[in-house]
Amino acid sequence: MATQAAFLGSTLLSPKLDSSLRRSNRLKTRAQVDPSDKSVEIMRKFSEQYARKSGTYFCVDKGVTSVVIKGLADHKDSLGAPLCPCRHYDDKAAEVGQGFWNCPCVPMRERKECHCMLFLTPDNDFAGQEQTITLDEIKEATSKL
Amino acid sequence: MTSCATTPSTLPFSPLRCVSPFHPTRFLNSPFPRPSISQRGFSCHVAVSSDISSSVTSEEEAEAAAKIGKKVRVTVPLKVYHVMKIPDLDLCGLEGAIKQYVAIWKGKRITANLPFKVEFFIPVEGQDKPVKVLAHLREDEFEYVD
Repeated sequence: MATQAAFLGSTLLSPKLDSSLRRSNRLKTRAQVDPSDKSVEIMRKFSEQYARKSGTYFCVDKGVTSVVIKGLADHKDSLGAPLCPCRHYDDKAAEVGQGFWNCPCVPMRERKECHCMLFLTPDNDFAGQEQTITLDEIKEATSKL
Repeated sequence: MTSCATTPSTLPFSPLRCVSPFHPTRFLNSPFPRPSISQRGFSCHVAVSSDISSSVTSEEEAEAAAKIGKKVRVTVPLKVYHVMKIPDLDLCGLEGAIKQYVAIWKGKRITANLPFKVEFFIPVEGQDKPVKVLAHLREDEFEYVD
């Protein structure tokens, strides 16, 4: 978007300057690198399996499920363990070592409380009917971000 | 439905500080073209989070250590599902002992919101030995028993 703003003033430019702008337009800065497909697949399978095992369901909005799965995959890649992606941590390495927030986190394991809305008990207003999600659904939902 | 439930909480400060008069953002509103990448020079100083925020004082550690072993009673309805032998267990009214304070780990502060790990021994029908149950509790979910 930033480069689009720069382009608005490009009509008065010489072709040489214009091409340098086009070159710079290819630069995309992203806050973080995407998680690997392998990790996303691992976390997708884990989510399906754990939902079945715990008797919980995915959110009616699969976009929510997708973002959380992707966040878990990202932490798995960067930290070695799927730390809960919906929280802020002072020291991620210590959190991974201690394990309270490693998915499935303690509140989920003990109380079936998942504040990420990844695993929802049937009585939850936002719980859907499904305990499955495909890789395509995840990719489609997260590509719009 | 908004996705605010999955938005990570905002950081109290930005760990990344870009300091330079040549920072690209200064050209965003300018009608003139941005300098090419080779002409842009900016330095980024990354402030690595120091240990100060996550380190625990010896007072805090001592305070936590003092609570271990204390007998407590659960004062709120609290259902747990992780005990294999008792599928749907309500801990309300049960007595146990604090086994661990998990919010401090190797001298570092952990953001656990259920920091008290309490051990219960619960009798089960058809078994001589009571079942050992470990559950994590918040401070306001139990009271100390004399």
